[in-house]
Amino acid sequence: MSPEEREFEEELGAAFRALRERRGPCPSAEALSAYQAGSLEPGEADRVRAHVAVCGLCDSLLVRLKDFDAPGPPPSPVSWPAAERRMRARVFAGANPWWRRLGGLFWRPAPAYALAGIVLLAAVAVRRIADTPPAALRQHPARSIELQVSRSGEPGAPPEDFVVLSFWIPPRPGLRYSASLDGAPPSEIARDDGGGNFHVPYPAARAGKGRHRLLVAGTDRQTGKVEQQVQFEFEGAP
Amino acid sequence: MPEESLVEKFQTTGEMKYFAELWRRYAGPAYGRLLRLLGDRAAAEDVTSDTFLRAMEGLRAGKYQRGNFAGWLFTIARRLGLNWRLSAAERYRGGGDRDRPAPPRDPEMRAQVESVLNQLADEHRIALKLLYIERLTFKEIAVHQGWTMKQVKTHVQNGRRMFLQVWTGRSSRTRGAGV
Ligand SMILES: [Zn+2]
Repeated sequence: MSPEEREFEEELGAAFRALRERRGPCPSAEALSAYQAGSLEPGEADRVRAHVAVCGLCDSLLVRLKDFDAPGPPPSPVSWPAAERRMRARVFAGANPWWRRLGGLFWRPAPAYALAGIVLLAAVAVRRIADTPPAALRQHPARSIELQVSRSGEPGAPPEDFVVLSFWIPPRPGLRYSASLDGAPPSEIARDDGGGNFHVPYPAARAGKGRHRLLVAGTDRQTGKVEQQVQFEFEGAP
Repeated sequence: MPEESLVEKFQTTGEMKYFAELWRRYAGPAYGRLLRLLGDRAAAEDVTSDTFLRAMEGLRAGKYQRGNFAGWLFTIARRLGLNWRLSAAERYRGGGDRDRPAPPRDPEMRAQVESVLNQLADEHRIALKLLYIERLTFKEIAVHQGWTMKQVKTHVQNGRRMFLQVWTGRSSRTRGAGV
């Protein structure tokens, strides 16, 4: 510790700790927004002001909120197309998911039995792959990866054919996830919700007919260490 | 087609091509805002997608009051972005109190520290609060603020220096006034 740091700690450390004691829980998103817009009742505004004075996290949020509506530079032309494709796939896949379109089948016995048969066969096939997991990798039941093909002619679909791989892995807080398809360099993927659902789009040509392998890795946001790895094997879309 | 017509068409026909056009116009601006607010690309992607999913639901449920679609959309983005940051903040604090037991309180000194903090530049004030009040590590501050480690060190060092300048100036003024 430098002499300057020591002097600071000795003289002011106690006062800062006393401020921390007074901080209390952070206000809600609505209250912070309203405080910043000046639309809170005076008493409530005083409470938020007193909290922000001693809360580094809310202080930093309010500073960033000031610029929220200011016009900013356009998104980076390098990372934007991939980011836009991932987000668009999530938004538009969620709008009309294939399992909702299949919903009607379950009410009719014949198609339901046929579907159950297909699922059973698929599970058996998948089981054979799952029998030989690579060392040090936890093999997730591969039936939980699903393919949804989106053709460019469909309303709301992007201008090229693509495949969305949907899967679930046990959620772990504080991790950043990446996925690598068939050994390609990993790219960052975003979770679909607070839980462990992912919908990851790939150009249809990359997940065509044949076996494919998707390796998903969860890296600790703080330490950069790989904390979770799951591998899926699946049959591509014809 | 003007945005209000797109909204109306989407609400009346349910056809995704109208919503896709709203996406084409506003996904970039929403993502840019969220990236500035959150300082994290993966989080900005998550929240941008959630924003549009909420907007889609809202339009279908008739929650949108006509007049300013972009403003309404960015309000949803702002609320979801703030919630994301606040729950991330809770994670930093989730590990229990990292402090030594709190010292005997001196209300006057506490108020003076608060007042000196308020006179500092944003980056100095925030760096000091995150380090000394929140007890975040340098690495955690870097992740939280989207700063490099070098920036964290600079802001903390300059913050301390500026704080001490105002602090000692304040006490010599107080002493001077007392004489
Ligand atoms: Zn707070």
